[in-house]
Amino acid sequence: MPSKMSFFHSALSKKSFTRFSLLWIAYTVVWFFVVPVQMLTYHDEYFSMSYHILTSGIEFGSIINFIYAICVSMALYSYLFSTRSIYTIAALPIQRKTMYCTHYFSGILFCVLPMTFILASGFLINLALGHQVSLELLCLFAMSVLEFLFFFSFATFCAMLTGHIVMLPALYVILNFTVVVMESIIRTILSSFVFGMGANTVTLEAFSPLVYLLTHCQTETICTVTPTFDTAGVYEYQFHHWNYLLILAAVGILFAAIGFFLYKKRRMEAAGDVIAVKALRPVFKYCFTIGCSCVIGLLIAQILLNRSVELGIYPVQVTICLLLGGFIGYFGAEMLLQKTLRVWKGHWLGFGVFSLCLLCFIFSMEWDIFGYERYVPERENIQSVTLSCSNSEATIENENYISDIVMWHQALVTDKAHQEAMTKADTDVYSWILNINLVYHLENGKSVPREYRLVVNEEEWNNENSIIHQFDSFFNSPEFLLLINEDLFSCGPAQLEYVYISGVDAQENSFDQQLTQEEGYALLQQGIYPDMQAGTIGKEEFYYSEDDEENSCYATIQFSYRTGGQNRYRYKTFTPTIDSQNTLAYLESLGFIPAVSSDFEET
Amino acid sequence: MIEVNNVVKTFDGFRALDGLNLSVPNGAIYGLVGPNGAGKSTIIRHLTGVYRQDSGDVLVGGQPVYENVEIKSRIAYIPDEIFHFPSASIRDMMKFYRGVYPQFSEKIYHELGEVFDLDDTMPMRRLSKGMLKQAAFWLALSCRPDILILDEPVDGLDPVMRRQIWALLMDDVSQRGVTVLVSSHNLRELEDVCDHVGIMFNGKMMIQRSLSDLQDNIVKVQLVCDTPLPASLNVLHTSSSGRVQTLIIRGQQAEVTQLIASAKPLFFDTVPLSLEEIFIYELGGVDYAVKNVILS
Repeated sequence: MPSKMSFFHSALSKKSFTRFSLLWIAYTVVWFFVVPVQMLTYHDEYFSMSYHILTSGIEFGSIINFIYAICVSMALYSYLFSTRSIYTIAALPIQRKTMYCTHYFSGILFCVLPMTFILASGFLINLALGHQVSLELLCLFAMSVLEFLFFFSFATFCAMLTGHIVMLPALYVILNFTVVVMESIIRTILSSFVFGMGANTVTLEAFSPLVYLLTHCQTETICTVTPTFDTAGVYEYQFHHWNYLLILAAVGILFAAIGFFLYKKRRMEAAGDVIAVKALRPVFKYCFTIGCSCVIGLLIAQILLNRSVELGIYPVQVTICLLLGGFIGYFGAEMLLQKTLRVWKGHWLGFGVFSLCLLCFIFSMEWDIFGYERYVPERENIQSVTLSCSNSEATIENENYISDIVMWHQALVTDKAHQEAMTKADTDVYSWILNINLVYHLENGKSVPREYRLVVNEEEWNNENSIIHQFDSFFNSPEFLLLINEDLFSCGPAQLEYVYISGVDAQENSFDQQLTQEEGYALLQQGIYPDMQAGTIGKEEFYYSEDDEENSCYATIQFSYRTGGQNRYRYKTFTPTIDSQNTLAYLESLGFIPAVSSDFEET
Repeated sequence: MIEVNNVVKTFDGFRALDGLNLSVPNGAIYGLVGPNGAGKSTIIRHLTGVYRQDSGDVLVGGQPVYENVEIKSRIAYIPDEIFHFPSASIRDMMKFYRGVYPQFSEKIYHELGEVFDLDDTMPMRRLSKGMLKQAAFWLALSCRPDILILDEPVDGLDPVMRRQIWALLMDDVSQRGVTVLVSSHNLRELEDVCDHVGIMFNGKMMIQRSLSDLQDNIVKVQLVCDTPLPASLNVLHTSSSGRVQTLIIRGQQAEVTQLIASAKPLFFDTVPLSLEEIFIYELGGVDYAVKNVILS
């Protein structure tokens, strides 16, 4: 008998649970081994049980729920993809809204019921063994359910879009990663054409939930008692990304609601079609074309031009590759939609429109129609600048330094033609590549990011007027080095996690030792700080000349530290030169006299 | 009563149903016939609420079928290709249908178990095509439907089981007044069971009458005649063997007999026409005839 609730049909739900019992049993068993069994056998001396449970919830949970959601969706909605099943199921005396909601709620229960069992098991073990992780178990339950709610709702939405069982997981995976992948690819292509556009920056990860969950939603480690050499530290583990999970779940519900309306209007005869919603067919076709143009076009360009970056120095060739990728995508999409290989007649106009748009876009990028390349923010509009270069990164608020950066940036933009010519002619095996990232934080709250990849060779390095020389004079000035190392010099002994020195002496005996916090602090304040003031240590090497090699000592000093406002430890490494008198003197007081290259030349 | 009024259905520009009209009285056994691609299965999928028409009405008892749970719960449908859940047995499917169809009768199910010699615990995937058909009838009849819609129902069944199933259907029709709409290409079999027939072609209903009306309206005559026949005779088809001519003539038997007699033939006789012959000669008039193709 149909249930009294018109949105839920108990017989249909019961059938779903019995038919696909293997799925939820497997899910339960996997979680059972990951949490309750681990609680019984866990003894990791570095991380506590609460860390394990929270990490399982976010890392393992997001991966397993991502996979499980599509499996459940494929199982529950499998009847939509075969004419034989749909002609029977759709003829049953069940309304579409009831059918959809029953399958959707059953799918949610496929996660909620197993996770309830895991939660109950965890509580029992918690009581028996006294782990005190009740809150973490509840967090795990909430994390898993929220993750599944999004992934399953999204998979349901994908099932409503397509009429083909193979297309469902394909669509699900592609759409889940499309933002991150497409942003990365488009940036790679654009960075080739647009001087200053970053290829490595990814800003839209939040729209690819699995990627975001795995990279940005980690369990936070809070050190409540700092460790010393004699006592271990005390740490708490917390999860602070509930907002993102709640937003995901809300978005999931939105997808489910859209799926509901798509299902109500679904043409059952669309079983077997790649895209079941008629109105979305052109959208699919052009999105597929753009995707193939970028992915396949970029791949062909990289293979043919034998370069992974700087493709923009061959704009004509890259454009042809992108058009070729678009051609494959456009007619591939037509073949998928029409389920035939004979799509060549009558579809060239659409491809022509796409090609024209692509050419206009590339033309505007290449000729900087929108002024992106030329734009350098006005000094008075800048609040601060984050500068990353080699191993250093600093946020600069000092007005004089900001002026220096703006001036240098303007000079670089003016020198674009020369820089691109250098890149094109870069065949010198001794040349270096310097990556410089700039982010201007403006007074109005906006950010202006720029990334440059500059070629450094001996000629440029020795030319005092070159862009790279100007950058070196500014960046490696003692004042600027002290500024970007300010956080390290502000550390007290307790904030140094470890200080480690290693190297080789003149007798070729290697040495390495961890200093005490007091020794490390003394080395920092009495050795490195005065030497940096004198400009004899801490310089970034943008080009390695023979003089540099002769002046370097065979020693490295590594600091691991964390200042008050920082959650994570940071690392800084210094190599003393023969002019780093204060540092070398302190090392000598500790019994270490590092060798220099001349020591080995003599022997 | 099933009523289909001016229904149009288009698939990607192809007009599968082109203003179709169909009417099935209560308690009738209605044979839906037509050439391949005429739209028989398409209209059946409208009648079972699977498809939604582009325009027109599909009504049962005066109410639209699409999304109408009350109406759909009175309809049982046996498609050409039987669907069952993978690994489900007949008993599993029975339990499912029991939860879906409010009129489902377990008593009938057990009684029919005596008729169908099938093990209801065996997974249905192991059953042959004919056994699957039997299982489908078993389940459909257990739903106690008021309307039974069958698409190529006895295809794959052995002659004994065919008779058995038709007998069961006849019983249901006579005892409960069940309306049966059956689409089939087996016209000889339909002729034995149907009381109404509709002939479809290119998405339209060509002819729709009771079988007796249909047979009364077309006459097959064999004659030997040296004088010309009256021009008012509506001759659909002519063939001859020696001096003996065979004519298929549209019209009432008495009227046709009178007209032929007026030509004073040497010999003439009227012969009963089968449904298959009616189908062939009616469709011959709309360019759907057996083509004489000689393969080289």
